[in-house]
Amino acid sequence: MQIAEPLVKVESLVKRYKPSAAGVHRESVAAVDGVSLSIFAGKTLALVGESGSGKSTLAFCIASMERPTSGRIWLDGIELTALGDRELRAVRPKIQLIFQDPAAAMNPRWTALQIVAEPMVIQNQIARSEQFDRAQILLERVGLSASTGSRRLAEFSGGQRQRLAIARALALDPKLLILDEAFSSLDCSVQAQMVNLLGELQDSTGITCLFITHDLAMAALIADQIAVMDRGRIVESGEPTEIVLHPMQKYTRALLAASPRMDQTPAARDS
Amino acid sequence: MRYFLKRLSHAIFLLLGVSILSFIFTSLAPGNYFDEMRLNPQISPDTVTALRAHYGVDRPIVVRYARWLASVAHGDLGFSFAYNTPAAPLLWTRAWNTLLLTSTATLLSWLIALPLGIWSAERKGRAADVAITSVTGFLLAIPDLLLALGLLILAVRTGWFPTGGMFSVGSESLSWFGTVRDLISHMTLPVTALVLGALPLLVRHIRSAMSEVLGSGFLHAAQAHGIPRRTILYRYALPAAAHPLISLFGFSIGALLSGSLIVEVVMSWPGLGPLLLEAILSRDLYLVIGGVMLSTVFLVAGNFIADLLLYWADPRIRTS
Amino acid sequence: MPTVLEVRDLRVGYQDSRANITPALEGVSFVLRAGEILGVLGESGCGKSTLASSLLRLLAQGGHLTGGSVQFEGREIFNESESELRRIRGARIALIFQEASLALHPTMRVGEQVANVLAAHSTSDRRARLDAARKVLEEVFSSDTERIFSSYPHQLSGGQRQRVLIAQAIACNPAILIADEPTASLDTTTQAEILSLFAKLRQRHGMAIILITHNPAILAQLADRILVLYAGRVVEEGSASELLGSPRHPYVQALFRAMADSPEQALALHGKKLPAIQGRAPDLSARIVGCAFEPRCGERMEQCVQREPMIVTTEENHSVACFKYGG
Repeated sequence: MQIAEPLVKVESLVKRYKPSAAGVHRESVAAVDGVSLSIFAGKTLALVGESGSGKSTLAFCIASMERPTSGRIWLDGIELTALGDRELRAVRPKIQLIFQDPAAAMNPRWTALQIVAEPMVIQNQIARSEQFDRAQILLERVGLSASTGSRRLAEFSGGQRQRLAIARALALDPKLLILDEAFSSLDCSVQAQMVNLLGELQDSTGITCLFITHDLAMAALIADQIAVMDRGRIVESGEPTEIVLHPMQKYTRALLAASPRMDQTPAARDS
Repeated sequence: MRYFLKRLSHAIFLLLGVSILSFIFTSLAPGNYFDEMRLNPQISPDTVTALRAHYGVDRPIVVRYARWLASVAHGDLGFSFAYNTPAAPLLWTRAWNTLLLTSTATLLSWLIALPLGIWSAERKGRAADVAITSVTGFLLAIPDLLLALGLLILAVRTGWFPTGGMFSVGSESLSWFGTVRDLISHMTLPVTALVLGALPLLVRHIRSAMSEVLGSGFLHAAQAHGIPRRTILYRYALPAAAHPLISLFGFSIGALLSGSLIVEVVMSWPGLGPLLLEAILSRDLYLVIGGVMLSTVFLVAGNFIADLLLYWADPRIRTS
Repeated sequence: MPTVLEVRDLRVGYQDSRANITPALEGVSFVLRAGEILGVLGESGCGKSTLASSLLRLLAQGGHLTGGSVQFEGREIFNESESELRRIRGARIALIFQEASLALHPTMRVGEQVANVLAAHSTSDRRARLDAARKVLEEVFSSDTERIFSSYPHQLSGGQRQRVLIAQAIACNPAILIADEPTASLDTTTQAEILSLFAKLRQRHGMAIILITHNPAILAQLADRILVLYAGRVVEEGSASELLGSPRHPYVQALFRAMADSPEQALALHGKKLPAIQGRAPDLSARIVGCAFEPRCGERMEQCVQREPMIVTTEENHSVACFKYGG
């Protein structure tokens, strides 16, 4: 049996930031400190860690929004870290990022259709009329009814805005979707809807996902693989069952212990 | 410390730039002091030529600039042709008078504008706010010159205030207290004109800066902690709005300074304004440049003070 | 346990520029007993933040009391004068906001901000207040208090800022602490630390805490009793173990079903479609006839559209507003 090449491959990635001018940090700070990982096509990797662990910096590097200090990144066989700025610009639409607060990157005066069509308008590779037809299809695919196309941002709830962001991210047929704490500020019931939506999209489009979260339960729910990140390094990675049931590292165990649980017994509460 | 040095070097560059520009502009302007002299039949052409050589006016601009810089280093600021003395002593007394007028006007307009702006922001949309907004809107539309002339007419008609100069005739014999009172009564009119000119812009900016801050979460939180309204307004909201207000302070010094040059001329206040006007009309080259330079120094100093205040008020600048 | 706060049929609405009133709370009633932790569970738009601010009569612009009452220590909050209320706020009832980065003054030292709360409610001199502020900070921070005391908010981490907010809230030793989503923007481990701090404070000071959140798992850790809000109404109330263990209302049941109880349980749900509640909470600007949850409910009956169910007690320490239980 031939082993498939991963869609995303990261090899000994390091990202250092220059010390600040005031000289508080004498040495440069490594936000990402030698990370290697692979994500196979159609699969989801969850990157779990706390704020400051470097998970967002890693995402920015993979999305080619930041140049790594050293290390290599491949997407679909292309070595991103070897590309020049012009070539990178052509590849970048293949990777889409979705953040916790999608509204920040949306024009509040535009309609939902305009927002979703924006990437297609910028790329301008398909006809104008088709752009809006496709935007309409995308809206429906993320579970927003056809009538919502003419509404503006203020009329959408948090969950609906996140759906809108996903529709827009899908507009250019990306290979990789990076969700950076994308569901973290949503209500529990809306989170469940979004988890289902993501599953459906993966089934229908075969898109690959990098899911960044601080919530281990959410990671266990969604991911095929979990990588636990602490202070710029991946300290442990494996299948969700291994990570959740047999954590090897102290840090992973601490994360698990801190996860809020519904099944807490009153005895445990009162102690 | 780096911050100060950076600001200081900016200021020095700015002053150099302004001095070069004013040299270029004054030399580009047609005619000079000696052209006027030539028209005078009582002065022989030889005398004029000799004078030109004496003052170095016939030399190329670069040489003149270098000489001027040297004279600045001596504290002379060049030489006044008309007064036949170094420009500096002439300028200093006048500059001092201008400084007195502008700083009084700055202080007074801020003392009035600050509570008014805060009060207006707190009552946004209510009657008091609407009244303040309309009055400032009306004042904003009147040019400084018109305002000064109007006040002058009012003063002449009523005779409430002296309409010119800095001291009354014979004020030398007054007591210390009497002198101050005399000075204040002479200052009233020009200061009023300046304050009325500066006020609308200040009130409006303070109002908008404050109303932006008044919606902040930390003020809401302070209210939830039971912190009294006055404390919230003056100890919490005002420092939070300090950033734009301090920048506005630096700008207001410049605006008041340029306003005061006009008001001084209209109200015959013996400041830089009338001197500069006179110097420009008689093409008294170095006096013009010296006057411009001094105004620029005030302006730069005002902004430098604003920067220092900003540094003092915002720990985020200090610690980053 | 004596009652410290009694909320009866509280109704609050927001008036827009065209004088239409959109209700946010539609008849909320509960009692808070001294020293207990009451969890208020609700999703965005259910009125939980409005509830927090109405208890201090600190409604956002356009907010009005349209009915009901809030009784604190025998006094009616909505009848007190503004100056009386100021003396209650922060001193007797304290509020902890969700976003610590927004609730702290950006250019004031943290110690000063704690001391200012003390200054608002005492006449002691400045030095005494600063010393007292130091003591309060020592209570919420295990170490490094001196550095934190003289720090500005931007120099602190999210968890540290949240602790400062807690310090401000407990500075005057209030009878009631209201915390509105106090851990929503924090990491899992920091969240756990903050929650155990709440437990410690309750134990030490005996203050009653109202913990408002959208996350039932947080309440599982801390709450004695839970109140569930939906569309500005109380749909279920009960002891924490009762309500979390065997929820009655279809909304609460569906909500719990849609989420993983723990990372371990999440593994079991992996790859399966979650039984999410479809649709979204109703728009409160339109008048709701019948049960507010009816359009999304899987067990709707004929009477659900006709009138609103009453809240009825099903067993000791448990009451529900649903016709299934005779509401």
